[in-house]
Amino acid sequence: MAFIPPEFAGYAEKDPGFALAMTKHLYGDPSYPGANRPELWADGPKVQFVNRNLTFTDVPATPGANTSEQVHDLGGGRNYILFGRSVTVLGSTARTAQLPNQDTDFINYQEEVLFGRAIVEEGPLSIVFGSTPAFPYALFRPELGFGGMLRRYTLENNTGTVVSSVILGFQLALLDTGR
Amino acid sequence: MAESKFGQFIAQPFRIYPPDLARALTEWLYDDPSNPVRDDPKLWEKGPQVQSVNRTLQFGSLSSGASSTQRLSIVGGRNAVVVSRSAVVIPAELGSPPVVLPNERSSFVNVEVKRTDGFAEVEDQPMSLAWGTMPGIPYQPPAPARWTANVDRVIKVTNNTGATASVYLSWLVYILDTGR
Repeated sequence: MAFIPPEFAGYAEKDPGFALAMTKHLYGDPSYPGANRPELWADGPKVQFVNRNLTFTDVPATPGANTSEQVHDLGGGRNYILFGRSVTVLGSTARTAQLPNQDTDFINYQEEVLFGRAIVEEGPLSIVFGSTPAFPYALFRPELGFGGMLRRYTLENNTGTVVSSVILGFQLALLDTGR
Repeated sequence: MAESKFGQFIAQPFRIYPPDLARALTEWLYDDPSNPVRDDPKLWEKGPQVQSVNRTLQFGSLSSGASSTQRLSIVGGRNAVVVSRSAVVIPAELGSPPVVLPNERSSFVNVEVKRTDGFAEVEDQPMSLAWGTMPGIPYQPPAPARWTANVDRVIKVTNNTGATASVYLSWLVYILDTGR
């Protein structure tokens, strides 16, 4: 029986083929020294859930110049599996308190891989991101992301004022190879 | 369910999980040198029980703009299963009435979690993204995390609220109750 890490056991019950694909995606990645030795995977590194983020600062609100973009590799060169995402928008005017989801209708978001395919078509953060803390937007099916496949993340600020920070959070599974 | 050299025993609290995950969690706690009956799996069922505990780390009276770092050993050298986490930011000066929603300042405090071996588990980011900040809905990873004994975490908290505040981080953890 092929090895499936216990962290993916829930998927293995419902869809063994997908659980196996998730396993091969992480353990078969060339960044893992045992990638070509499946018989060692069960005694190899564990699957580790991590929180990664991407920060946009000083996003302008000037009409016609209100976008900001970054190119990023969530896995830092390694294959990863994306489970969920969350976001917060911080205004330029200091507030003593703010609910994390209250400005997310006014920032549009677009995500595409560099060769041009749109992963997330442009739309308000609130409908493509989880915007309530502790309750991230969970993907219906975890997404297998390839290390080294860069993505372009674009924001459009429609709040009418400069936004000091928009921080995107991503919940990933990586192989814990210790590096 | 895959075969195991330890038999088929699954600790009671883990029976809500898929069998292969449940057994991996069971073995994570029972196949640990801190368990006196570790080497005799047939005794595990009648041995120490799995106990859920809440562990809390407090960063008290943190000045505006300040960072503070603490080292966390969540159960003192034993393997642990971390199920969820939650957090709250409490300002030093309470308003009137003194009401604080657990999540209303959670975008203004950054949290970073790094293991002592250097692996970044939570990159430096607002706690609202990576932490449970809603009462009753703690942050749960897609599967419980198996934390290795003696691998400590270094946790950095940065207060961007503009005022002095205390920050509490909490974890729901399963450990083996060996009585010591």
